[in-house]
Amino acid sequence: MSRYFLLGVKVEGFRGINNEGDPLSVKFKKDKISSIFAINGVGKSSLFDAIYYAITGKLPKLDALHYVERSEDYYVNRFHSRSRGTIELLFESDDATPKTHTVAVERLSDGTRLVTSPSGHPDPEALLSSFHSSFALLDYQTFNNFISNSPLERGRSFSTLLGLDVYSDFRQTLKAVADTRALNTDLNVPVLQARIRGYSDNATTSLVKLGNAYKSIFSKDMGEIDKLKDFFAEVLESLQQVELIKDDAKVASLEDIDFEAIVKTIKTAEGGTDRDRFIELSSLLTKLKLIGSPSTKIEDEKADLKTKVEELNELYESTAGKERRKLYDAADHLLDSGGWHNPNQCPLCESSLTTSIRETVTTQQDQYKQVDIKITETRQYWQISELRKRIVLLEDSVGKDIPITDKHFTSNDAKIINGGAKLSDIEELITYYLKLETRLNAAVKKFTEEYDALSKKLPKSLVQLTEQVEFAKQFHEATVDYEVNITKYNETKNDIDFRVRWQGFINKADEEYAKAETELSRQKLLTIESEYKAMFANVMGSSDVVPNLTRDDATEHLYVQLEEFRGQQDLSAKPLLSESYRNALAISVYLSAAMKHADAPRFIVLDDISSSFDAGHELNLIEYIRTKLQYGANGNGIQFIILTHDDLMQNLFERLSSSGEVHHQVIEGMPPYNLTMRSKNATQLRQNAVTPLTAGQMEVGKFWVRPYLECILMEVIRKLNISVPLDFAVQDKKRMVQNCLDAIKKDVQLHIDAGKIILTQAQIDDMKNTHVPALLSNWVSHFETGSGTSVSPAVLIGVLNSVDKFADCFKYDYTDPQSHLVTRKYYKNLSTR
Amino acid sequence: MTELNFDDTKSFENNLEAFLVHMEAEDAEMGKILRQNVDSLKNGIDDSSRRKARSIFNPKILTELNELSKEAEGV
Repeated sequence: MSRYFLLGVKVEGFRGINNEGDPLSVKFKKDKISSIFAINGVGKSSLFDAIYYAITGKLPKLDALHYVERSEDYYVNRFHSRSRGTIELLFESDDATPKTHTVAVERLSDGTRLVTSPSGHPDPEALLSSFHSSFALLDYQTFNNFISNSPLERGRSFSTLLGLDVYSDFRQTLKAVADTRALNTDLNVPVLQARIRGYSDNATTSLVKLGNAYKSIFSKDMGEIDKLKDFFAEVLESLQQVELIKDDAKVASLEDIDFEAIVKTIKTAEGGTDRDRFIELSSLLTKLKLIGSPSTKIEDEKADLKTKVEELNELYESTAGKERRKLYDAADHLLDSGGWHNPNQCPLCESSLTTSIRETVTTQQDQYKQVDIKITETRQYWQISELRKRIVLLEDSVGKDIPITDKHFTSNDAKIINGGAKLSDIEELITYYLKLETRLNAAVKKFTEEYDALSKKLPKSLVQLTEQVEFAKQFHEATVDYEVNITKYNETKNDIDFRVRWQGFINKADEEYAKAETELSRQKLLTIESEYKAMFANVMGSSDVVPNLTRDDATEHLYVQLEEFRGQQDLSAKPLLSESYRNALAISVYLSAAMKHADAPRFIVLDDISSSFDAGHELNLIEYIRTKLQYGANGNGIQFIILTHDDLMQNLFERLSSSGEVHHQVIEGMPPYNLTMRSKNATQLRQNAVTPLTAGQMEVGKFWVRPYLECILMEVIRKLNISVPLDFAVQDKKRMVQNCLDAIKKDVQLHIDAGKIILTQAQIDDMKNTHVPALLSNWVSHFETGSGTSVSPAVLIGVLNSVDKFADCFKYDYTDPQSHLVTRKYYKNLSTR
Repeated sequence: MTELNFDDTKSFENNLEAFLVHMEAEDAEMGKILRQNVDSLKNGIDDSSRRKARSIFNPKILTELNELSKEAEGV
């Protein structure tokens, strides 16, 4: 697969870069560090933003703004008259025969993003997408987050670093679909469980009814339910043996019998209103008798239920309450995620603790777990109790006409199931149950008295027959109910079984995948271990602090430990490392991992990554990158583009640039207007100043005077190896012209005093008496002292001429030995030509 | 059940295939359902896309499980 270097970028109308009609053009070298310096507010971050947006299609720092801040209004430069941002990137493949591609990305004011390829790449969007890796664009925040993140967040971002983001993403998605609570909801398991409980209750009720009906017909117990078909046939046969109704009962199965026809036949045989009422009473009594007597277990169950509810409430009392449970759960989550490191400090009020926070949380959570166990135990006991079945049966038969406000089953049933029942609720439920039993007895007594009176009046044989037919009818109805409920129960159970099986399977899948992914990540981590440790030691110039990254065996957590810390071992890095050490560690890890990659981008853009470093560490970092990681120095290396606003870095890059070791450029200009790049082209800088000054454009022209003066004076210092003070690099940047002049004058005077000066007396006189005073009076006193006195364009052109003449004082006529051409050449130093 | 290991020299797709085969050995019927729907799990890159993946994947699984349940009942 081809990988690509980034050779250049042109930006217009994007973020802080206006450059309307004259795009800011920056060129990068693939075989040496390309460094770009800009003072604050000039456009360095906008350049980084432009590359970031071109490649990723977004700017997280803008997207993170609150919507009322309308982040979409700040992509395109607000001073660009066409409100159109354009970013053009130039890539070159690392193939033996390199291919170059240009991709242009436009951002319109309405947020539209257009991607084209002026060089004719068939799919420029895909090309840009291939550069969207975790390494290509890195800033200070990325490194800072790496250490400050929780172990879980760090572990996930680290997977990306190791090129395992696709594994980590899949793991997280698998976990999301396997989550027990989510799965229960998505697969409707609680709904099915509620249904199956209903079908079970109904089937049990029907079974009691049909058993009682059978017993009433045959005066014996029905026997095992698996012989239901036999009992069905037996009941039918009993009807077929009765002479009066045998024709009506001449059917193949009990379910084909027309009970209404049989009742009519009996009515016809013995007409009258007493007969109608007798049949009605028979039906009512049969239904009530089918309920049967209460189980002997019920008395014990009433007592047991009270005991269990009392025990549950005592357990509740021993906890700190529902609200505090949320607090302990939150603390548990905080500790698990590694978000709290001091075990003896309260994360809420930060006071000291005599018992560790983990111990307190575990003790409290154990008490809540005891409550949960008791709730489950009580629920299970209640749901299969005879008492519950009996109340359901009674309410369905003699409780229908009780006003809803006096019904006490449904609400108390829910309380027991959910663990919210008090002793008073159980007592209310038992009172209600006894009320239902009383209603049943009263109804049976009332209807029996009436029934007995009528049975004495009517012929005995028909009385018994009516009873028999009614019991057969009830038997049939109860059987149908039973079978319907059993069928639904079995269907639902089948559904639940498959869903529970899936839950077990997907949880196992989640577990197996996680184990394999963790092991792969651990193996990959080992492959960069020596590199990041070596780089960290190099950058920090120390081997007595040795970091170590460890991956948790069971989770995605990644811990940053210190294997060695000034003689002590195995300590946590986060509380011990200073900001610079933390960043050095993060940079070492990122860059070591990046070197292992073979992704499409073979470049890394680093934006202000060393702000927390001192000069020594910055130098170490740049040297490490330059000599070990940069393509060119390392055949397998990567191209580095480093953006900085740091004066120390600027001076370092200036020095390395003069010896050709880095490609250094400076962004200069006046936002919100035009910015430009300065490398070493003094001629261009002079032209930038002279052209507008000659045209009377004072504001534009004067801007370029200072860069030109600095460029020429720094050139004199570099060429003649002029000694500068130790703090030269960190002196006020705005006074650089004065600082340069001071350093040059001082070193010249030192050489004069030592009698070692190479400059001619005329050059010394011109420099000291003409050019330095001209520069001081016409430039320094106006623009570096802040006096603000206005000068004319002609004076500034004079300043440019003065600095040229000043530089000429350090040159001599050089005759080329071959061509004999004479050119002006800088002395080798102040004492040698 | 043998241990599942991902091979660093192979692509994610190859390792995913090994994972699917591993899970089919655990439960062929459920493993088949996972294989048929695994594509829905491949684009979860943040919480939002993972919620979306769940809203697509789990209903598909429910449909498959209902089919299996009907087959088992002989419907």
